[in-house]
Amino acid sequence: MARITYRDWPPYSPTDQNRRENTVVAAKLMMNAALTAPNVGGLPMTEGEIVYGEEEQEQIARKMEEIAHEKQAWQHIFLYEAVMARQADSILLLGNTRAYSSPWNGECGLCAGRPDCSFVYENRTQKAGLIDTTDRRCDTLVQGPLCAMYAHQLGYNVGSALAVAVHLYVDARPFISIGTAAQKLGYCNNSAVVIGIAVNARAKCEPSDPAIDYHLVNLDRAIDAIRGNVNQLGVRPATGKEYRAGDPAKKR
Amino acid sequence: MPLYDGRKFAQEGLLQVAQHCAQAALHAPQLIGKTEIRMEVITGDELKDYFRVQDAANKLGARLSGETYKAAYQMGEPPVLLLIGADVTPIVQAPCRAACPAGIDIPRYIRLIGDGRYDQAVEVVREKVPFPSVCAYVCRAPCESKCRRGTLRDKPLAIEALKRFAVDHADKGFSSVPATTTTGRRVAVVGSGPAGLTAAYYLKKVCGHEVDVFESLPQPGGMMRVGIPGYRLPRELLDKEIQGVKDAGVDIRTNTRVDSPETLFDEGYDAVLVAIGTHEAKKPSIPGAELDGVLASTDFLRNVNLGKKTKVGKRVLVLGGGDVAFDCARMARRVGADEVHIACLEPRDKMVAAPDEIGQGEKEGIVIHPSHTFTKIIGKGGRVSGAECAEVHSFGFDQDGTAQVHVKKGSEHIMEADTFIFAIGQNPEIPDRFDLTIGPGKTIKVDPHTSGTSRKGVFAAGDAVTGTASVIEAIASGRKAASAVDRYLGGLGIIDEVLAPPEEVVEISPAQALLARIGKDPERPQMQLLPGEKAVAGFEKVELGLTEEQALLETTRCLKCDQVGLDCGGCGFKTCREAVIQCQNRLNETGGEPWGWLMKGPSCIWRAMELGISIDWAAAAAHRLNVESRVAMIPATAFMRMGYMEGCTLVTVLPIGPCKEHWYFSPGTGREEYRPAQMERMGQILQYPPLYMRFTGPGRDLGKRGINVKDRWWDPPYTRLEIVEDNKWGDSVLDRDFAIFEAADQIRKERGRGRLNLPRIKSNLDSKKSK
Repeated sequence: MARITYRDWPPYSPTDQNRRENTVVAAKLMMNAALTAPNVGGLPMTEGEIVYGEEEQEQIARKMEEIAHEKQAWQHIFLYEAVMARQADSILLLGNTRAYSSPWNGECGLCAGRPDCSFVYENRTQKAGLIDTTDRRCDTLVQGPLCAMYAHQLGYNVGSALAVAVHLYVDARPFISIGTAAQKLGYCNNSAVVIGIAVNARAKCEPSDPAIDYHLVNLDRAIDAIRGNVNQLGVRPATGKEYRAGDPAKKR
Repeated sequence: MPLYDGRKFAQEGLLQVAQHCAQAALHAPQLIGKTEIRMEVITGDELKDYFRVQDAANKLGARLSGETYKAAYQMGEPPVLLLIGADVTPIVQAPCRAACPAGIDIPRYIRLIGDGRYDQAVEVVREKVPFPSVCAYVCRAPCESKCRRGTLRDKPLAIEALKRFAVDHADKGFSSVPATTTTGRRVAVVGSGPAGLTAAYYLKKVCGHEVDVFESLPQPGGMMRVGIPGYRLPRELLDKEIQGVKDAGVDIRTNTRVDSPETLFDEGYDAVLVAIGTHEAKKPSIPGAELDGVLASTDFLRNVNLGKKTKVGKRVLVLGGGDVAFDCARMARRVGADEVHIACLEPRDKMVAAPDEIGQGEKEGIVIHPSHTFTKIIGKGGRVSGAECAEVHSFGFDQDGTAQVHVKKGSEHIMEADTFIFAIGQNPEIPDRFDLTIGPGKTIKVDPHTSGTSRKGVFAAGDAVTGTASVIEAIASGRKAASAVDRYLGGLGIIDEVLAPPEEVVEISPAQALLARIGKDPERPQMQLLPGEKAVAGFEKVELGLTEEQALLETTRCLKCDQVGLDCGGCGFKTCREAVIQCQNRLNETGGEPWGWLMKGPSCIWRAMELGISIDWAAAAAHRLNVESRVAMIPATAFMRMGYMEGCTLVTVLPIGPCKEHWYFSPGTGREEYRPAQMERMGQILQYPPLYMRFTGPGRDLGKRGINVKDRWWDPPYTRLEIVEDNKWGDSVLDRDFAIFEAADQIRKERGRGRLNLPRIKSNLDSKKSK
């Protein structure tokens, strides 16, 4: 039997749902723009996925929180941005399928090695110049070394997607953290480098100016905390008259 | 008649489109916010430079892309090229390094001190400065004012103290080896101060010219010797470092005054560098300035520092609020004054002297009177006995730089003194026969780019150009002048040295181990000082330096602004620190010259991506205005070679205007559709061949580089490649690469831009050729 989940908070109201579904439409258009972005060498190499839904986004956010505690350098970025992944109306993931498996061979020297891509090849298991993509062991955030030119190329894709978001008047922001966490969960699984773009259509785009300790103090948690501490906020049970018998505010 | 030619009107509009594109690039969303986007616009006749490089490459069989620009240019419709680029290496420009006038790699030497490699840390300093000890002892450390630890968190790193620690604890003796090649050109340097000796050192050691330094004083060093007191800069250190300059082959002739550049040109010198400093103290024209016992700061300091007998009275008054005033005051305490007072126009919180200097002066008993001025010096029997002074209400400077002081009414009073020292600034003493154009403040006027004066072959540097400045600024000025003089003499003007060995990555540095043992966040250390009484009794150095523990802990406070800091592993190194070290080593290995055909690596994938977003936004902006544009990389590399977009490691061109259609539909420009036989039939030559054919695939020359790879897949029989014509596309491509560098360098030379190190590039390219 499939999982049936019940949760009374936070609410997923029909109006929420409508707004979120519209951002999925926006994300689809953004994906199209990403596909038509300029290509290095004219080769197709873009992969994308749209993540939408409470469970799916929660899964990515939790993965981000898990990564956050692995290393000091990642901590506050990943913790803050996990909240943003949760709050996003939808997420567009964009990856580059060639950065890991087939470097540009453009003699560009942009990666850390000699200008013959040997740095990438030396660090991979390869046969006849074909890299073994089945070796997915990775103890870093990204399974490097990658072809830096193709990583640069992913910037064009992300840029185009974001440009469309601007024209559609939806809020969008690219995240390294969301992309890498999603990639580790199997999204865009042909790409070694993935960027997550959080798409939002709320009146107030909270992630643009997060509070300090955002993972602890954010709007959802603040509202939830108010609910939990309702008695301390002066919303006390009526102790006067029984309300059906008269106004409880009036003294007996 | 139409009001305006519509075609021309449209053409001019392209510049406005480029502006829109540039704005879009700057407003593009950021990924990590650590990529500084830089842009330049090229159009009109500037495109000719590019066509020259293109022609040079094409003669050797390439077709360097950009044919459409050429065609459009010839039709009178030049496209506008927007160059967009950035430094995408994992090394981020740290604010401390950017603030250093000489560009010392401060984060790197801090890292090396933390690793316990003090020798190497000093070598890093020496890569930019021939006087690391002088710099460590007397630098005013502009880097500290920009340290991000100070601006964001608590207090800036004690960078100067760390450098001093490294200099004091480096074991290795440093020796300078003169250049092996000589150019036969002769340079005369007038003045042996920090600017003159720096220029002499690089002109001799790196550029290979014959250099003679002329010094009118009996000892070399300029202001380092006669201006800075021995308690701040120990003389044995100064002597050692000047000896280093002599060891490099520079001849220093002391007690030799030069009256005119003509005599030097007559003696056979090809260029003259004037670095005479500012040795003439300013004296205000107030009554009593001619009395006995009224001294000028430079005369007083010079006499004491050269060991001449100098008498001061028991009560000394110094007018001035800068470092020189404090040097005079503290020196007066050491040569016999019982009581020393400093008066200055500025209020206490705006005094220009370094805070450390003020604090140390007060510890030595110097009394400071801020917001004070003197209206008259009073004398008795021809000798100074005091001064009339008043409190300052406000003051400013007029156009000539003369102070306009407003005093508080009724605040006038008399301060008694038997010696009075003016320390209110200095001017250069330029002999009349030098016949140079003089700028503001009696300084020598020079071209800011070439350091050239109004006379051909005569250059100037240091305080004589900038007015009184710090030692590090004089050194930076000397470096700039050395490069300019070398270019004037036909050299490349490249004076950079690589002295530190390749850096290694340590698992746990001594600093990290110490921090783990101590277990708490360190605070900025205070340098131990010689007690006041002991200090004024002689000329011993007052600042005693940091202990090893203090220094190691201090390195751990560095925020490592020079690293992207995500430690993601995307570039192939596990930490950004490791990537930065590898990047630095690689740049050193090539002397900063580009390794590859296209770009300079290694790169941070996120910075590269961030640049990509900006470029895409710029291109999209043009499309929104219904103007053709695309993203091109190959022409951008040629512009990089020509000296555009300095400091960028990845540059692309955004051609705006008529450029796209031809590009897409012209046969022979689509790399993926390359069919050699078909192309040959059509008489087309590919703009550049696909690389897997050109070099028979990646990793072909691993063997040549001593890397053993079991799977020598590039040896025949070829299973993957469609075609291999190694001879055709192999070495000839390297020759083409060099032709591009050569042509680009010629343009740099004509435009007065920094030159390429062609011999080094040639050896890099030759090493890749099949034997």
